Amino acid sequence: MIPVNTIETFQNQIRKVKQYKKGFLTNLFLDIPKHELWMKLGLMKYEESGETMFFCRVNQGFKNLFFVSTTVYNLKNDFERFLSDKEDELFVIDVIGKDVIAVKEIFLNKGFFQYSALVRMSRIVQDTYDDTPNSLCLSYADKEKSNGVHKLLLKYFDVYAEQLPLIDEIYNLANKNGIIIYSEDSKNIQGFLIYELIGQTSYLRYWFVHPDHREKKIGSALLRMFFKESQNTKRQLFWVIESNENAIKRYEHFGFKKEILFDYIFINKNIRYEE
Amino acid sequence: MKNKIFNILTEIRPEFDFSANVNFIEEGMLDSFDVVTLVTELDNQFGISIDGMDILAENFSSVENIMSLLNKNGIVS
Repeated sequence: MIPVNTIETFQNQIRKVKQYKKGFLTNLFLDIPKHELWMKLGLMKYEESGETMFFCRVNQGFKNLFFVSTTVYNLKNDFERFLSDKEDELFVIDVIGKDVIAVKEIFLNKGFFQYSALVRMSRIVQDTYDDTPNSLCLSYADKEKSNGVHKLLLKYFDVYAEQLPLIDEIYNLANKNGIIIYSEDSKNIQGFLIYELIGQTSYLRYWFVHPDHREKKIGSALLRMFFKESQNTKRQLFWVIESNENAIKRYEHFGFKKEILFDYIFINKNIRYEE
Repeated sequence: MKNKIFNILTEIRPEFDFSANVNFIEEGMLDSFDVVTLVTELDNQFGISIDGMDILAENFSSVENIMSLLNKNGIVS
């Protein structure tokens, strides 16, 4: 596989696929700051196979695999060729979309298992205002606390399903006041919530309460602050594990609805996500 | 052409007002997934294939920019 060092290299490969003029099928959605960071750290590589470009992001003991192809038929044949000399490698593939049965079948038929499925939930918010004070235990993470948040992410979140951010991504989020932490003693972190505000949309990326501190309303305090920070946005959204009915019911109570948008995660190892 | 673009955008994100004079990307009205969806819809509905080098958020940040991209692909109003 060939390293991808610049966004231009990446775009050139997409151009090759688009030049076939047969369609545009992909699970790679360009996020320039994030993907430039991956490239800068030497984590991105690509390989051309037929009418498909495969991109890999080197992760912790596995690779996230992305594709840019023309049609389902070509992706299927090109994927077979791509895999032929990579029997010992561990790949995780996200298939994102509304109607992706045919694409899912490609990976299921090549020895991949569905590890997990996420569904996106969102709510449209109109004219809300909340001036209730935040808990005194809530604050924005600084660099030191960001390191603590990163350690908790790596320890408690699923490395295959969650596309965990790099420490530099965490620092970037903290610089934008995108990490709220709950700390009773200003030293230890009992919970955190990571979000991004982009214009009229607010994304809840991660929401966590330490297992030793559950049932103390820390989660709801974090969520309330997220809602307050997001009160000038029109749309709030996040991804949730599709089988987590308890969590989905809680979010529905806050007015969130499931979208018809799924993220199916496949891995070439017979394991399943455990909560 | 403009109406067709509006319809496509509204189909993708019905909750936002694409007639507003704002940057659709900076305003969070279209995310990276929406941009890919938009590219596919524009390709299909206008019978073109947008160049990979043009799939940058800034080219989809306003109706005018989208129209410029379509002009570049031989589609005129």
